[in-house]
Amino acid sequence: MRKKGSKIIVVNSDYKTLYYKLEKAMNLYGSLPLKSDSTVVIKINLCDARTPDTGAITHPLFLDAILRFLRENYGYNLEIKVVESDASVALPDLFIEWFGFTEILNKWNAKYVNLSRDAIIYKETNGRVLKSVPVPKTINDADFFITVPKLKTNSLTKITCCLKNQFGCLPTVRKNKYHNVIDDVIVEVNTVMRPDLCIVDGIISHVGIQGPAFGYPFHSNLILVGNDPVAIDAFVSKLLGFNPKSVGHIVKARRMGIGEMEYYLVGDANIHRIYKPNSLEWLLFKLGLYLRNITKKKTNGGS
Amino acid sequence: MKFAIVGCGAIAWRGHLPALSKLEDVEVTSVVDLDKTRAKRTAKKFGVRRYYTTVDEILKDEELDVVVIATPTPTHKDLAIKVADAGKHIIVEKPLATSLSEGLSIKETVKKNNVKLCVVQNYRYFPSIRQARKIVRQGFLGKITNIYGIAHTPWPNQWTRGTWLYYEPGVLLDFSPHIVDAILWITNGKPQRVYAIGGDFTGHSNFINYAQISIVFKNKVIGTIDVSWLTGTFRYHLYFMGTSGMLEVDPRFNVVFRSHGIPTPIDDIRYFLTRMKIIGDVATGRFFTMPQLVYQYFYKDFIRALETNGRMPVTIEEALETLAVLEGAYKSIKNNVIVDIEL
Repeated sequence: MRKKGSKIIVVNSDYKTLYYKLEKAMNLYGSLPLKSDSTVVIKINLCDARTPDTGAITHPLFLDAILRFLRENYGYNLEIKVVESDASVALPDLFIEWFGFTEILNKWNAKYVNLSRDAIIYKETNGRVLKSVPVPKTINDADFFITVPKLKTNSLTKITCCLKNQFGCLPTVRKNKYHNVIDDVIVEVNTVMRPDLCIVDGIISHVGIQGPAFGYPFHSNLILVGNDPVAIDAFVSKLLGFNPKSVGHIVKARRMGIGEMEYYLVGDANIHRIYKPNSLEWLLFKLGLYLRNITKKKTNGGS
Repeated sequence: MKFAIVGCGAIAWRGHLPALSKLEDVEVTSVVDLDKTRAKRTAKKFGVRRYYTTVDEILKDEELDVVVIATPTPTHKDLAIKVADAGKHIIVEKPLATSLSEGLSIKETVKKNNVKLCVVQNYRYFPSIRQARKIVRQGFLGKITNIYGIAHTPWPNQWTRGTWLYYEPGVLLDFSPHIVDAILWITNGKPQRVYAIGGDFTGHSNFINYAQISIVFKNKVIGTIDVSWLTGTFRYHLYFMGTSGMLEVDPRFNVVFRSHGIPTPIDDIRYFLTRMKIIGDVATGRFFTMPQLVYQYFYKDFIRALETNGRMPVTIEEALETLAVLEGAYKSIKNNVIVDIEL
């Protein structure tokens, strides 16, 4: 009987056995529609100046494993571009160097592209916030787009994973201007930059009320693979203790037809909840942010 | 009194301009930034009449009294010398300069032109830091034997997209001047030797992002400071240990806690109540406004000193002492040696 929903591959792994576990996950997923000279774009997550062991950014060893898999299975003629964009607090040109990505990119002959300096093509979405989305040319021209998010909580959107990672494809530096309408913007961006494949670096997750950058690491030892970012995010919501139907961008993405919330799991069965959000703590944190914003306005610029 | 602000970045927006706009008999006549759009936006936001892209243009203004240098540290020396040569008084953001030799050049020029210079050490104006100074100076802790300080902040990308801090001394020239200054100011200690360990803990960045600095004072007091960008927290704690007690200070959370003798449950209750003050501070908004209020206190003190020809709130000599400790720490980490402080 055909299973209902999107397939999500779940494999338990740590960084020591990572490559073999990733290979296992990819074999369960099936072959990728790549030609020997295809252009593959990989969107990693370098959201802040945090070391990889915090779980807040993609671990360089995870990227290393993906690049090795692509090279060993699809050849050395693939053009591979690893992308990230500047943001209010993100300086990816520096983070790439500081956190050990440069050697890995060189080792597997992959190119780093800062999307904030890329040429832009505007694509109509007629969305509620963005009528047209600026799409970096590198992503527009890619034959295959892989998103490699972290598995994290987010004080604004509850969770951040496959859908939210594309928010980081917006070339705009001051992305925080969208924070009040972030669910809509995430969905609008995904309507024009939907990934072909999602590989989640959930070996060290990042959880807590101050996620996605200032929470704490949790060794969840997971690799998730699939082609439906909505389904994976729905699954991740449950792992992080949130009802997927309460996560705005997941619900809206499903409505927009980006993916479906139903899924079935293939692979390892050793899965348990990663985080249990404390409602009172989340409420107090939001109240604190609210008070700070009021004070900022009153004090003519803030503290 | 007429002020001009050079540098329209985060600290001008969050500290200087809001504070100056609240003071009487003070006018900010112009702002300067290399980025014309930012200068214009700043002038509009804070109701400043003129904006420029070079400092030379404001120095022509004969009515201008004080120039506030709120630019990246590597620019301080050239700007301060230019402003002093134009006969204007100077307020400069901490640290005074990137090296002791630069600081000494500034001192010489300031002296030659007979102008006043004050370095912004705004943490001196946090109520808990002032209270700690009184407690230590009044001898409630007996003779101070050692001091321990923690100054952990997120990386500077949280407040600036500028990259000038990401060079060799790194974290030593970011938040560290605050804690070194507080220790020297509270104890009136004269640093004699510095030994530091630390470096690049990311393994790839080639600048110091964590350091532990030990300072030996001339009166044999030992200070140890732990400074870091790595933990992602914002922590500023000071502990003063003396022959008759111990003092814990946390300026952000307005904590000053003295303990003497063997701890009793009453001490636990006192400690709990001290910590709970934060609830009132958050509810009244004081927790959020204090970082800005301290700038107002600083400016009031500065203006008073200027009008009465009195002592600057933070003298250039004090700023040089702080710089000497931090430069000593940098040399110590780089060469793995104990560095003598000579001023």
